[in-house]
Amino acid sequence: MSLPNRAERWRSSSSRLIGLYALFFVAWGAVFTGVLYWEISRYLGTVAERTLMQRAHYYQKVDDANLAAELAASEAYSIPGIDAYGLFEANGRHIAGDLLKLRSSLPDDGRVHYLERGLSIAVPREEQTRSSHALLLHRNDGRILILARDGGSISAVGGIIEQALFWGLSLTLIPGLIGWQLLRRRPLKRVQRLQNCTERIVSGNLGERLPLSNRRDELDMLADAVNVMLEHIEQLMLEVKGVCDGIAHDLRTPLTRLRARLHQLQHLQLQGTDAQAVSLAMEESEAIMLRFQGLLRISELEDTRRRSGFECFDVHTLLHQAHEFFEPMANERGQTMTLQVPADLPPLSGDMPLLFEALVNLLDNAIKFTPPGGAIQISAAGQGSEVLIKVCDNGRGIPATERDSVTRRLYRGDASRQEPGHGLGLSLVAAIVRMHGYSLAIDVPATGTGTCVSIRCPAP
Amino acid sequence: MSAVLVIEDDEVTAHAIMTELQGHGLQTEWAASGREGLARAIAGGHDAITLDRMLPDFDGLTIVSTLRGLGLHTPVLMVSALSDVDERVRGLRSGGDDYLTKPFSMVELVARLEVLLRRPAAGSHDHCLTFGDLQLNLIEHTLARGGEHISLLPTEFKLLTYLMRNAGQLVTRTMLFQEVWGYHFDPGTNIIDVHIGRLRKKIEGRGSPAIHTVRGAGYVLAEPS
Repeated sequence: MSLPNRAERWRSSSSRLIGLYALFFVAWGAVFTGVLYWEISRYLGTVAERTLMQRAHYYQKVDDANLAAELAASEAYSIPGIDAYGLFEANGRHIAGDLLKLRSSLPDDGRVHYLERGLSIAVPREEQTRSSHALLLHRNDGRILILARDGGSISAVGGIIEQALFWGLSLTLIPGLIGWQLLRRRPLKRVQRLQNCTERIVSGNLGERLPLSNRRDELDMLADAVNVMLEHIEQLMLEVKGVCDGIAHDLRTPLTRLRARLHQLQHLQLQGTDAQAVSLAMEESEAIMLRFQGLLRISELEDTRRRSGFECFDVHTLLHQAHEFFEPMANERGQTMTLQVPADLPPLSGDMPLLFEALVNLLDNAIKFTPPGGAIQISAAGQGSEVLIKVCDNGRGIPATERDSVTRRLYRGDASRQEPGHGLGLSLVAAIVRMHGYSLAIDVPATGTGTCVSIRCPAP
Repeated sequence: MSAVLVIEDDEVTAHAIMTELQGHGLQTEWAASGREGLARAIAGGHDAITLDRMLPDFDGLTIVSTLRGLGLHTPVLMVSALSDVDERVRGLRSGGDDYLTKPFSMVELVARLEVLLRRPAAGSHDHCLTFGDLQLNLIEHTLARGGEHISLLPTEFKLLTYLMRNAGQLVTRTMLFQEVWGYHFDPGTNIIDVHIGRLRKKIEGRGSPAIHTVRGAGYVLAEPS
């Protein structure tokens, strides 16, 4: 039996914590660099704006006649590709300067504007569509002067910040991931040990306790609490078992006495109705005995200590014996009982007498609830490392609503109340299957009528 | 007349056992405690002992292993309120010859005790069993009736062997199930009857031994009437 939610790597709490930290760090880094970028670009914008305004101011004072010469002279000290100008006729024709085209999108208000798609600057080997700050001036003679300053430094700052962000994040996240891998491993190993332990407890070993480390951390606190709880549960179970065993033992002697006394009465040469009454009472006491022994047997099976006595056995031998035991009875009732067992089944580990007892109960039911002329099939099949043992019949079947209940102690379907038996057959089978760690399923065979009981036995 | 020592602390059960045994022509002696029982058993003079597994002073297992340790091989039928299969194994390992779980039927107790009383001494393994005109060859696994060969299935052969070894004596269904199939639980069906029925059809004939059904008890292989 396995517990739900086996530990997955990413589900551990340290993974979550580290993930959350990483997310927080990335978000914080992004906000920080964003603000930095915004502040720097604003500052650079202001600087560009001021420079442009200064130049504009200067050229405003220059005469129209000297303008071209003055502009040409300025190229001597301005950096090519960074500062540029363009002088145009009123109709937009280019007169001088690196700016070749008059941009119509540049507002004509004498103020500096930032243009995302740059102005066409006639600089060879330079990208011509860079962003820039630009300003449009109307000269008195109708010519148009455009002054521009490249905005590339702002995007360069953006690039630097992006790179810084990339390196910063990767240098933080990579060691973080390595750290996570190392950090999660230890607690996960401990959790896996705890899980293995609980699996043993679930499978019936109530004496087992969760392992504690000497760290006294959260896991230990939890394990300690569970251990205290287990202690309590074990004690309660032992008390219940003690009471049951006590009752069983107390009932055995009076039942033995009752039967002895009835037996003595039978020897008294009673007449007519008296003899009949005594033999009826004897039959009733037999019925009590059968049911009592069945109940004791189930309690005994639920005590899983017997697992230590498991041995390897051959499925073929077991099924063959069961078939041989019941075949004459089926034959007598006009039923056919067939056996289908492949020769190459893996051996199983278990208590063969108990499994035989389970098969006896299943086959007894199959014979009881299948009409004369019916067919009963015992089969086994290997499925990977498992063996699937099946007992199928084409009898009246078990209604879908009752299939789960029939394995409960003492449950009897309405239809089966007329049949003899102590009503413990399937409960006993279920108990035997459970103590072996096998699983039991009851369904309808492929033919549509009858019952098919299958026992799935994982190989040891 | 065989003598049986009954070691049992419950008076009612002890009396019932003794009455039943006396009814079958056996002499009985009662010991109500383990100490007394052990002393009487060691004193000897019994052909069989029924021993309660749980006595107030001694454990039944101790008594049986003490007896065996002293070299006393009186057959012991252990009667126990502990039905666990492991308990049976422990009972038999410590030297008990058979094991019966409470609550038991008197028929079962007497049948098992009589088998113990008539058990042949160790070492006397016959190759051939004969009863009436039936001859069973235990080595070749064959059956002959008055020289005529009858073929038997392996199960039928085992059934007949047990019946013939205990011919004239009552054997119960659980005894047969235990001996022939080797299992110790109550199969709870009339399946043994069906197997006996098959065997009966094969072996019975005019002048041959017959398997009689004793109602509510078991079977007896008896001489032809």
